[in-house]
Amino acid sequence: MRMWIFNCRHVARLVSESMDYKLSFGRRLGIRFHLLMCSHCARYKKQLYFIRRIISSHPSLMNDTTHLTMDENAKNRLRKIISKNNQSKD
Amino acid sequence: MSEIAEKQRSDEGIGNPETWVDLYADSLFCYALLRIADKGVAEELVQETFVAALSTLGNSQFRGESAGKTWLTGILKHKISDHLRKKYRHQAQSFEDINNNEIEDSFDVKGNWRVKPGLWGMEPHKRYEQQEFMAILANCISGLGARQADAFRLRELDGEQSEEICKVLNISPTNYWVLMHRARLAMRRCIERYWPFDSQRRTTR
Repeated sequence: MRMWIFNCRHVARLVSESMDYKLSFGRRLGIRFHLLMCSHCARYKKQLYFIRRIISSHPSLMNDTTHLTMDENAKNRLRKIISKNNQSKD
Repeated sequence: MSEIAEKQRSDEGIGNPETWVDLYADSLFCYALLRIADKGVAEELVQETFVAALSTLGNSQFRGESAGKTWLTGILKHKISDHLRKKYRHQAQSFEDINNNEIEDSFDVKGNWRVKPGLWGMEPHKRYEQQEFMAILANCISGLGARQADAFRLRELDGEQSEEICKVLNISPTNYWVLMHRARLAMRRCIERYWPFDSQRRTTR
């Protein structure tokens, strides 16, 4: 896989890997060169980074809004357990 | 510190376990649910967190401080990690994890995109747009294989390092790269399917 012959398949894989660790200089150069000419891969990279950005800035929005609180039954169970454990400690 | 202030501090917050459920249960539950996507397991993990916290409360320096939530979340994080470890301990990477054709489906033999990544149109800026986008995102994650979804969450949600993810999910580094590459291809494609395009830009192209 020499840098001048990166195709989209290579680039998509390397873009993914580059999100987890720093690629070698040659590979980074190869990707950049490819992205200059290929709007599809450029778009792919941009979208992956967008996903990362929005997840880390609004993680709580990922939760289903019907599940933002714990069940009352579960809470009552928890209260009992805490109370029991807390007393046995004293 | 005055006696009254001291009393107040121990009446509520981390110093008084009787108040924990009201103060912390919902936010801990949401934290767990985001990462585990199973209501029952999330509840269990919160329970384990409280029990573990109770047993170390006496030795803890966080007693009575507002750092309580951070402290409990830290414990919960370990519980989540333990849960995933146990889940995958005896599960070598399964055939279905490996045998999905996301890569083959995405590229032709020459290595070109089979279906070119489309425009997503507008990026979600307004709150309700972000909410809609995130709902789609969550839905797409749950459509991944179990291990893929867990890897994706650990990496993108918690920024966990790949070495740690390999340990927790019981996979080799090579499998990790393939798993994540496929997960990302699948996620991008799934979002494109549901997130509205900018129709104007699309028709003028």
